[in-house]
Amino acid sequence: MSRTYAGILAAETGAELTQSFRAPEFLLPTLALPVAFYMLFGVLMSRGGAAATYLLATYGIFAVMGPSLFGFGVGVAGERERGWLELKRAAPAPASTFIGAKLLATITFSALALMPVYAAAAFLGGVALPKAVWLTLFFVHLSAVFPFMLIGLSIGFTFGTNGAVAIANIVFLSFAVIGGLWFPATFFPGWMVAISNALPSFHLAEIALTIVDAPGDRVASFHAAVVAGMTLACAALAGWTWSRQR
Amino acid sequence: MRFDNGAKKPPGVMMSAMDTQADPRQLPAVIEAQGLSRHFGDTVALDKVDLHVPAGQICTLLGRNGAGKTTFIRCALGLLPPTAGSVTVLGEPAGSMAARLGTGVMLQDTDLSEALTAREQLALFSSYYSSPADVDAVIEEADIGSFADTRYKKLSGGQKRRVQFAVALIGKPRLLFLDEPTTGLDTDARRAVWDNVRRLAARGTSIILTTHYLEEADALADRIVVLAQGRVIADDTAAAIRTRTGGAIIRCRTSMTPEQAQALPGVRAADMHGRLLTLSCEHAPTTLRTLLSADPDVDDLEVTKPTLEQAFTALSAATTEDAS
Amino acid sequence: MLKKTTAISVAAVAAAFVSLMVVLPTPAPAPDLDGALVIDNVRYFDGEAMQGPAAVTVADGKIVSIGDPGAEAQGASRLDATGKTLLPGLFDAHVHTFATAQRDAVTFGVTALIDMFTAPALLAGARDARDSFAPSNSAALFSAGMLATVERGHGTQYGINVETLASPEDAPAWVAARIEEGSDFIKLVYMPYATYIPSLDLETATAVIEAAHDQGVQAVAHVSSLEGARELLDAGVDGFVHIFADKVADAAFIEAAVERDVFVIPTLAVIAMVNGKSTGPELIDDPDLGPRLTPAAATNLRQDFGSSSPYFDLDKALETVKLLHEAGVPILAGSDAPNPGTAHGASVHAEMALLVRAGLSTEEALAAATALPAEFFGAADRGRIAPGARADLVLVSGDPGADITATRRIDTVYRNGAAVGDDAEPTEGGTLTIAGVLGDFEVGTSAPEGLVWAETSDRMMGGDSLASVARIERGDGGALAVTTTVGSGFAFPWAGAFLGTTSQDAVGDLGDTRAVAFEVRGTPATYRLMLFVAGGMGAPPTAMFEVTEAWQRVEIAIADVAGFEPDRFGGMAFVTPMQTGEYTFELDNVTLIR
Repeated sequence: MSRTYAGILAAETGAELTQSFRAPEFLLPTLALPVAFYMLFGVLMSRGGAAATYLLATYGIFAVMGPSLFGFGVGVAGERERGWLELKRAAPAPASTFIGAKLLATITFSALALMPVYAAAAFLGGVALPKAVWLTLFFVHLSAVFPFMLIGLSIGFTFGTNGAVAIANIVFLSFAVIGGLWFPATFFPGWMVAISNALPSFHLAEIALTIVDAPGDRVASFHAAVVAGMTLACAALAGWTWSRQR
Repeated sequence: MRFDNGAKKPPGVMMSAMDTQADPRQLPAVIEAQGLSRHFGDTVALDKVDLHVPAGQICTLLGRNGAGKTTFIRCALGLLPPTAGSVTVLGEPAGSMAARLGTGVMLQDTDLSEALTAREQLALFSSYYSSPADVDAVIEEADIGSFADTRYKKLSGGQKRRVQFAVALIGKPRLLFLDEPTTGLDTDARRAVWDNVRRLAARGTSIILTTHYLEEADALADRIVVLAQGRVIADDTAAAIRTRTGGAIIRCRTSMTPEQAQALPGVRAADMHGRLLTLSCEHAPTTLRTLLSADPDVDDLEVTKPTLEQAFTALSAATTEDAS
Repeated sequence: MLKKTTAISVAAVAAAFVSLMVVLPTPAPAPDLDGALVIDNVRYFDGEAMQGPAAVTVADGKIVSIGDPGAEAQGASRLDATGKTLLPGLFDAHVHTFATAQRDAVTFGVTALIDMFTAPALLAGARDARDSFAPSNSAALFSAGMLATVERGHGTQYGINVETLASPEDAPAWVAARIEEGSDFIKLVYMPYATYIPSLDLETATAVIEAAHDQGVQAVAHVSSLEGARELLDAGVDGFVHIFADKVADAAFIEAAVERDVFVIPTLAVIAMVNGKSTGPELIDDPDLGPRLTPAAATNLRQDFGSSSPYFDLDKALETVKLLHEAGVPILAGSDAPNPGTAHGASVHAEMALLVRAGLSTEEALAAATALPAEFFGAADRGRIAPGARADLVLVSGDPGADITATRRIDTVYRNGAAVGDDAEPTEGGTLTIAGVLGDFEVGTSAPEGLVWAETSDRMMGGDSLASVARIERGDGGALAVTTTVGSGFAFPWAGAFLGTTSQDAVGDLGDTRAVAFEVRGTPATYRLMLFVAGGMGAPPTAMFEVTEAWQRVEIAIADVAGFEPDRFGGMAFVTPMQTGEYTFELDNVTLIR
């Protein structure tokens, strides 16, 4: 058992996953909430059809937001408070394995949260898409891990556990509602649309909606560029809050 | 008499364990601090500390809360950048990967992951090292086998400290930082940790230990570095510090008043309970001669060497007066 | 151990992901909208309620979308149906399929038939035909095949060879044989209180129902009395194919029917006829339906028992239907065509009007002829207008939601998306080249494409002769067995086997055929080969041949058949002499020789 980067990353990821699997208060809402919401709004209330496809695109973003913001972003606040983070920094593990493990674990959990939503859409909502579209949609949804986890980390580095959870909840709900993940943003009044345009959730949803060819005019490359820019800004914010808390 | 940091160290600073060897300052250092200062705003947590810890030593940082022990350790681990001065660990810059690879750490106010078991925490940390200790061997060595598979959250405070100790050992460190390692442990568990520390030291592991238990310092340390208000106010063996802080403690029954007793030559402090007098004095024969002639009724006379506790109290009191 | 956790978790998630990707549904290939039809601005009945107006787009035999005008841009043809109503193709939930029933039904917008008793030979190919999305001028057929009855019981009088049941022990094997023949469900006759005809006893009827359920099909029953119906409810029957008209159902029966979750096909049209209140004349006189009737269908509609029977009181039947419907029992529209006073297709329109008279709303009456039979007889893609549904449709003028008789104002009938009568089916209505072997009966009773073997008798002309055909074993292969009883109900009686075109409009071309050859044996007599001329009227060109008890080969030169036109072949029939009596014969290797 010698020290390799991959070995450390694997062990760290295992630790993150084990901790999450042992936290039902995190596990259940993260995995069950998106599919439950989708069942209600995307399947039962919309009676399938175009709405089921539209909401699959947006609820996929919603499903990824939970693990990203709460599990591994806000979780940092607790680790910091308990001194766990400090012990890790004194130990000979590269900082990148710490972030990398959180990213891998978040992606794993996001995939777990996404798959029931896909299954509900396909087998209960009657959504049928070409394989390439399913696949692309999945990767677009998973890519939402990056900005949301960086935002979560920034919150975790800045606030204490209780404060971080409260802030993350506000971010979570406003990103979901104003970002148009629950209801199409086109129903919003003008001032809300302006806020939507400032949220990564909105632009990610627009990319996903382009993938499923939802009605409406969209330029995916524009939204992708916006998301890339926002992700870089989030990375800078996370880096700054990280250096500040030391 | 008091001791400044640095050059004016008396010959007694030599370690008893090292007596047969060359000057330890010529040995490779596991910690070399030079003019290390750390300020938090206007507060001076560390004030120009110079410290050379040679390999193979158990070095205890002794001091009251707030004396700068933990700040020193955090600087040495690279967790806090110094305001001024420098510190190297195992010849490498503090906090560098090379330094961290050779170091084991048990910090104060640091909890491990609550959801993982001791065995899992050890497995995680063992992945950081190229040739870590065997997890089962460490569990046995730290005597945590009975709760190695219990989630950390469910352990008692003492059990948690012992798991932390085990985690500090997993990398087979050349240098071990133990920040208040026995806080919260009962007497048996504390003695078990001490045995472990001694065994590690016997194997050549260098140990930096902070404590506010004088008993612990007395029991373990080759060398005690006393910190007060961020400065080193003493740096010697336990015996030497005891000796140097004053000749003796005199106890007796007497009819003198405390004021009369305080006025005796060489008396540093006098304490009166009814007729029972306790004197802390620099040189027992000088004081005794005057005492016996001044009060022919002296009874129950007893002369002892001061305890480390008493020595430490005296040292700290002197520093406080000096600073004010 | 943590690394193992990572490896297992990541592998499990990856495996789940890959499996999910494999099973996730993909859309059906985009329909070729070049051939699409947009029926625009049309009111439509979705199976439950009137909707629209909207644009209904049809392509590749299916409804592609509703309300999406996008298809128009892609070269679809557009029909402005303002003021018209689009209905799902109608069901007749109680018919007996003989001869041209499936073709006649489509003419009246009835695109699916639930057959309650026919010759099992007809079932071969029925499933493939109804599942096909090719344009067709023939109604889809769902059938019970042979019915469950006792020797000399109801059902045995029609000349079709019926395998009867004698005891409850017969039930499992009997049901298995029906399923093997292609029956979609089981129909049994239960009339123990009729004094004039024997019936299954309750024990045997129950055994048939249970055997059907055990073998995964439903069991429906012909009953004629309230008591009989009540007993079958307790036996677990799934539905009644008539409503009894002897008494009005009592509250206990209604309650039991609701509780047992049965459906009822009242067949009010036939009850009306028996009761002397036939709907036939009104259909003949209808300005839209009348002209669509074939002469035979019109004759059938005119037939009337002309008396009232104490067991058949239309008003009591209407009242029972009203009570059942109000209690929530599903009511399905079935006509029992081709009984006297009814006609395939046309009588469904009369039945819906009778259901409205019994208290159903117009939309409920429409559902009784569309979504409900589709639901209860497993025709998942029929009976509704919705994206993905089969495009069996009827476009009518006016609004049947306001007046149920508007269903009779048929504009266009679509079968698998193609307008019936549009020459949509290449093998129909065109010229069919016929040559070679027409029937060797090695496997079934199949004929070359575009042709079908069936029984024929003078019943279509009001006679009372009977015929049934079935494949039998002959050596290593098979032959066609024809069982007949020649009656005296028609001046020129006949009974036998018929080889006809599957399309009424198709014309066969025998090309340079010199003769018709076949092997035959049977009840010794002089039999007749009739060669029909497409569209011909009057007696068909006929040749005679002798039959003995031993197999012999017969060859008839077509030049010898006076009046026949080889390029206008409309079918051929091997029939009995005109003398009353029972004749059985076997046919094999029917071949055209050049």
